[in-house]
Amino acid sequence: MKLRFFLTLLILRGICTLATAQTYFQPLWGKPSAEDLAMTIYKPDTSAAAVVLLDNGLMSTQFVGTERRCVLTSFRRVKLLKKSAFDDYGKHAITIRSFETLVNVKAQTINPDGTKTPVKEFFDEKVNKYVKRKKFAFPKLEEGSIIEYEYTMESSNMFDLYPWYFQESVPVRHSELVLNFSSDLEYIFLYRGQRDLVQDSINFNTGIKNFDRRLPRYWVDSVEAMKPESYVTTLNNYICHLKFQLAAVHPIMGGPSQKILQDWKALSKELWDNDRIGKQIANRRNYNDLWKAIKPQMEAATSDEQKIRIAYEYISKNVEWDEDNFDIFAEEPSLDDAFKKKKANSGELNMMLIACLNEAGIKALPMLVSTIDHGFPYKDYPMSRQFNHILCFVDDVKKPLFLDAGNIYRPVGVPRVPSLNYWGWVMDKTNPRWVDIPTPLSSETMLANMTLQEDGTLKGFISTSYQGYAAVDERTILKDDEKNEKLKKAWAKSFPDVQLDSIIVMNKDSLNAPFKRNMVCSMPNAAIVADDLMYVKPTLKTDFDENPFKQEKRNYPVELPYPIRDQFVLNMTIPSDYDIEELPKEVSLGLPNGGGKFIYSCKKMNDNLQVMVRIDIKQLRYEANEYGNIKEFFNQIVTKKNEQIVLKRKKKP
Amino acid sequence: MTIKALFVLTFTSCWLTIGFAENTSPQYPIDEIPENLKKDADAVIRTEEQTFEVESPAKATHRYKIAISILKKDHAWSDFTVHYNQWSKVTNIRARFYDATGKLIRKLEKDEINDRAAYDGVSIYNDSRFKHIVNTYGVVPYTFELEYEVKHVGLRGYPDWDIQPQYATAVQHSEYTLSTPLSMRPLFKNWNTQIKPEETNSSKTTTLKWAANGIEPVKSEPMSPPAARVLPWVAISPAEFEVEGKQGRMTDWMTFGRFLYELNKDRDKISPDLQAKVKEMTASAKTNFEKIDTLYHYMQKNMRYISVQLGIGGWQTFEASYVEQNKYGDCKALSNFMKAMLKVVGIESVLTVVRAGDERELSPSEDFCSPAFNHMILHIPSENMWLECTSTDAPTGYLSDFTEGRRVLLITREGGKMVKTPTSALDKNTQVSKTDIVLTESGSATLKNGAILRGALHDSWRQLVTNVSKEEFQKTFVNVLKLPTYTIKSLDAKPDQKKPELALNYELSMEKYASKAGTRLFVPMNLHNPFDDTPSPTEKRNLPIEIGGDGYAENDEVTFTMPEGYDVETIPTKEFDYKSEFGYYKATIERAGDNKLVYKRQLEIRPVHIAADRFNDLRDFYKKIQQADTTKVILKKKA
Repeated sequence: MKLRFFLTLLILRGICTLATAQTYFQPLWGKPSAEDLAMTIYKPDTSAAAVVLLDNGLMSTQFVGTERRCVLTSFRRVKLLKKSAFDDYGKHAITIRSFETLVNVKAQTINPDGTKTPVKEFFDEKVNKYVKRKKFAFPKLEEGSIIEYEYTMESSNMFDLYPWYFQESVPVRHSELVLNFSSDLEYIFLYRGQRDLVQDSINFNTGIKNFDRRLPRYWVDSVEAMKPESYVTTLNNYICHLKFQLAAVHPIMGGPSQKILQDWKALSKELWDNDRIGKQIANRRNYNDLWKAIKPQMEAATSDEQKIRIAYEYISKNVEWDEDNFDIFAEEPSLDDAFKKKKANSGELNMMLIACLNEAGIKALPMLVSTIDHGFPYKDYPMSRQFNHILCFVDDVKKPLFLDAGNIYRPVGVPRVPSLNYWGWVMDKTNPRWVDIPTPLSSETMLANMTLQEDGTLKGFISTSYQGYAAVDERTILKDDEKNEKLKKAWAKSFPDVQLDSIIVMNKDSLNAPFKRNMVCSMPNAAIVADDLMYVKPTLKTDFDENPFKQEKRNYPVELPYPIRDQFVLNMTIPSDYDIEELPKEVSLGLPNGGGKFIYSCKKMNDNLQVMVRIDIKQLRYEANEYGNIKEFFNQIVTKKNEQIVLKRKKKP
Repeated sequence: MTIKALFVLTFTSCWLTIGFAENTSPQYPIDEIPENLKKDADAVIRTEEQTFEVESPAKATHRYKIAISILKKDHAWSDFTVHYNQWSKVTNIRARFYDATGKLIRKLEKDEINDRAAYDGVSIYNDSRFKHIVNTYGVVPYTFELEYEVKHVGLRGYPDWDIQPQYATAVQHSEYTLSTPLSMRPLFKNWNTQIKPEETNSSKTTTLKWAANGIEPVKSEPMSPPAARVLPWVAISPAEFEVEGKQGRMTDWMTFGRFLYELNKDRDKISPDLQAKVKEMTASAKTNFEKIDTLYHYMQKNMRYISVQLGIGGWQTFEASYVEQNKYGDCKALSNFMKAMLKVVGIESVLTVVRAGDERELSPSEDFCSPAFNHMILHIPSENMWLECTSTDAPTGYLSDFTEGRRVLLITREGGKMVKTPTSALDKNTQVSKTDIVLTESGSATLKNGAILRGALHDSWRQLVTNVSKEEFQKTFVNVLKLPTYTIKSLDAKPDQKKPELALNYELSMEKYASKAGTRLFVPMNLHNPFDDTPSPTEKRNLPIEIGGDGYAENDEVTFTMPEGYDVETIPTKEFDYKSEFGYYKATIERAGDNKLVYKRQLEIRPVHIAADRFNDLRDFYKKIQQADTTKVILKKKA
């Protein structure tokens, strides 16, 4: 009898919750306040074209029939203050993926005079085999209209429930989420954002007499609109939102709890047992063809270093990466299938590398990372879904190597830029651990030996050397540009009639050596000649010509991807008939705590001028309150770069 | 038992043979491509074969096959789309990859063919869809082969023959066979080719067959006419067509226009309430223009543009009552709604279809009827006026570059009539500005600018200021005005209600206007509006040069106030004067009073249509004016 009681309770709870969810927002429907109807401007943010008055959700984990579902009922009321908001907020599309069902939707426009016009036209669009959309437009809109819509979605994904965003690109006056979770499913809550959430509880009417529940509610008022800023890893790291991850299942009927969220060791074991990741690397039959193709070269290699380079270059050259296709799981049934198609996602590429290195006797392990766009990796939560990319990690060589195959111009040890996201997790059965991802230096050094002629032409020889990401960029550009058209175009921006000759490139294919370029150049009109004066700007390079940080202040930190070193040395012979009238002053600046350095000097050495500029940026992350420093640092660089040398014609004796 | 064994053996070997029916000989090996086709080519079409068999005005079957060898990793052929809608169905899609020797690498899997809705960028709903096939393989060269069939039960046109669809693509062989019932001989027009089809007639059908071989690749060059006026293709139109039971003829504009008229007539009923309101609003109007102006502004203020393209809705407007109830509609519905309101006050208007966008010269030609329209506007014959009904901010009667200066089709009761929309001549596309710049010793400055923009130069500003938030406007402004670091003290853009004109006023403070070197200041004369359209140099150019539109003119006057204690040291060049058939440039720098400098600049840029060998003439002129715009004046601190 006890069992039957429990069962009835279960089913009752299921049905009642659903019924009540549909009526939960009924008291709000169609009832904006008179003040809200009359509102013509939102005082906390007078520039806002729209403001979300209410964004309320009720999310429950329950049974729908005999199936477990996550049910989210959402009610939104938005005030459209200006016509410019009509495009974004005057229509809506609800995306329905294959594991979701849209239970009901209703929408209406309420105009300032109180008239209500319901939405009658709903369009069903099939995006592809797995995704559909329900689309509609709000009728009879005018400035001041309030739009409301409410819908209920059911999802069968109990591992990740719907995230709730309390912030968006327009101001939000009130956003709340009420949770009606059944006690058998335990979730961990992950909150990110610059505002603190308020937690309280509300009385929830389940419809059964004497069976009200107190449910937790999370809310926040007067949230600022989220405005994008440059040099931020991803705004998702800063937007106020709440995510839920299933941690454990505690069966209602009794019995042992099942831990879903385990520790790192258990996660490692689970992934090694997974067909689409661990088993791909561990079982030879998944990559046999690939190994056969590469084996002769690997066996002929004489050192571990050489083997690594061979495998890395072979895979990068022979398998194409679908740009932006990052994943930790293999898409094809086996690595060999991807090898045959000559196309793979980022995880498959590095899994191929790990497998080949292990076959050759080098211990390589997968390191799971979250790319910059995908969000900050949290060491506290053993969840595989925070990772979206794999690096090949080799530990017992001279220094740990982080290999990221997929680009024939990126050498061993230089990962993709999106991979440079703080730290990664090494998927090791016995010693799973977090390791910081090193950020390789990108450097460019230019040495120029020039002669300034009386007509203002600058002629001479320029030699530039690139390393790290700067070299990757140069090699990539060169691939399609044998005639150096792009190079000429870049120089022509500052020197319209520039002539570049005898362009010689070194180490084009030797990825581990610096990429070097020597050329002879002639720049007419490099100096302004006027009467007996000549003015010339000695900084020939165009990098750092503009300050990338223009805002007055920022809300989010500045996050630069990798450290930079930029050096420029110029030896310039001035015309024999001229004397130096004025030289820019020397400057030596540093960012606090050795974060960066800027040195500029311009000296006379016999009949020559020697100009030296050096810019070092080591610190990659600047909190919002440090923004002033980096902005001023760049200001100083830009100012100095624009300064000119003044020459005056010698007076005749 | 022996017989049974034999039988089994025979049966097995038959089965084995059937299993090997696949063609194992090399398919499209790369070394079979003639050298002259490979040179400078990203891809070579080895063969393109299609047939279009028309059974009746509504029914046809399209069979298509293409084999294309990809020679470079960077190419324009990575996506193939096969469009269809509710009157057509795509079947038998098959694709294969062959390596350089011609060996079959793999076949495309079914789940690699995506089925998507055709998003045209504006519709909220559109029942056009397409199959999307991605052509990519990691190692070049390789060959991609695609075949499919489309069955139509409703036709609004026939596929054109696109002989050479892209730049940098050679064509080894391409053929197109079009067969129709005898009475329905299709019409066609050649573009950039002299090719003629072979015609054969049987008792029931007429067949046209075109074929082309050995077409060398054409390199894409900047400032050339649109590809459709350079590369060869043949436009094809049906004589008769039928869709959703509605029949029409595309033999000439008159007849096709008549069909569109019938489809769109009598859809102009608006409620008695609205009719009364229309009469009330226009009661005090003295002229027709005033009535039109009042009603046009009413529509701009109250209606929105939302596009819903369903079925024949692509050609037929929604009823005027739909727009009245929802307060939204697409270009056809809004034009028709305006027409309905005008009818109430006795003003006749005509729906007009147009090919809008930037390539005026691609508008349908007078001598060939085709359904190449993408927009609708309204014409009022009695006033010789045109109305853009989707615009919420245009002055009454102003069309803008979007639809100006091109051939359009009036849909009248008598049938289609082709006319040309007006243009804004060069002297109507102008910018006149006055700027005051006050410099300080550190090189910083405050800049105050007042400008009047007219015609084509004001269009995008008008659209921007009316349709986006103040913040978005400021953001776009910051992206357009490329000055070194500045803060905006004030920014104001006022579009004129009646004229195609906009007043733009702004005040900025700039940390670094002039660059400082010791006791000197280097003051650029034209930082805020420099010319920067000079094309890069090329060795040899093949295609003619075309810069379309009507040209524009700028007239700027800038007054600089020098910082206290500073005087002019040198003005390197006091006057620039360049005249050419491509335009005109004049700039002067003069001292004014004790502490001011006045910079005056006039620029006129004209449309250009010249032969390829004159490229350097054009480039030289542009280079001169771009260089002149970088001119500086050097100030020095007085002793």
